[in-house]
Amino acid sequence: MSGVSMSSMITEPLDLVKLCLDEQAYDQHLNMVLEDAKETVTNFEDDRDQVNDGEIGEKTVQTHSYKLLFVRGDSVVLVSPPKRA
Amino acid sequence: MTERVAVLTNDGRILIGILEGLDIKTNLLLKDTIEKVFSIDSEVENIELGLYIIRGDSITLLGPVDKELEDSIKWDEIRCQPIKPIVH
Amino acid sequence: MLFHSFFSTLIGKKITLHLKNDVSIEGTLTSIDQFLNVKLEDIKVHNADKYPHLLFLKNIFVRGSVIRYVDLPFEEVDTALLQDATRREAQLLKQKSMGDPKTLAV
Repeated sequence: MSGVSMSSMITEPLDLVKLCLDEQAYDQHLNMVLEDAKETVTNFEDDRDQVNDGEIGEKTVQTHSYKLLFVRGDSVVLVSPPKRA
Repeated sequence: MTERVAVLTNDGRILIGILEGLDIKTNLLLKDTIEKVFSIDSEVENIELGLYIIRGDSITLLGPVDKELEDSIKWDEIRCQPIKPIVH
Repeated sequence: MLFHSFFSTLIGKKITLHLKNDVSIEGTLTSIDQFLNVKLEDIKVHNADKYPHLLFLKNIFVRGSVIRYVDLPFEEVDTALLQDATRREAQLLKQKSMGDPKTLAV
């Protein structure tokens, strides 16, 4: 790797995805299989009247854990590398 | 083919009818179609629709109606919200 | 193709589909096609109190495009093999796109 600079290895977006998902499975549609996946769903109560008053509804956060999860690529909007310990 | 099938559409409707035909894109032709309308404050309503063509890409899921299971359900006791539409 | 092959290896196994209408359905995978449309057997809808709509169905066909997640049986999957296949597929795609600019559109 020393002779080749990192930037020449990365020539298209999927190369970055490859870096992010090195230990996981994925394809060009961004379908992927994630191990030990954690899902966080943040919801603000959708009360139209309150929105008009300039207030945001009550916030609820739900988390789910999955040992092994297939994610369909068409709902993927962003892929980011995991934080290194 | 005289199988009764149930179809859940992307907008959350449930249609049941006799499968008369289908094509490669899973467009369906249903005969004697009814729509089962679920509601939180009244019992399940069956609306007769007749002959229906359903476009394949608006179908969420489908399956043959299991007569035994269907008969075991107390339809007049069911009160629930309709299924939400598909959000991509 | 990668995930089609992958799901083919899971035929006969129990999986849970989480759909884009917030319905979750558990069942035994009986069939999968190239669009990742799936057939499930002996289904059970999660949270049946809220979703009694599909109680009269036992076997279903689900369109691949309405699936958000698939919860997989961890013990049944060889993740190392899957990663290998991913690398091969990515390499193949790269070769294709470098050799012929037209294939970049995939």
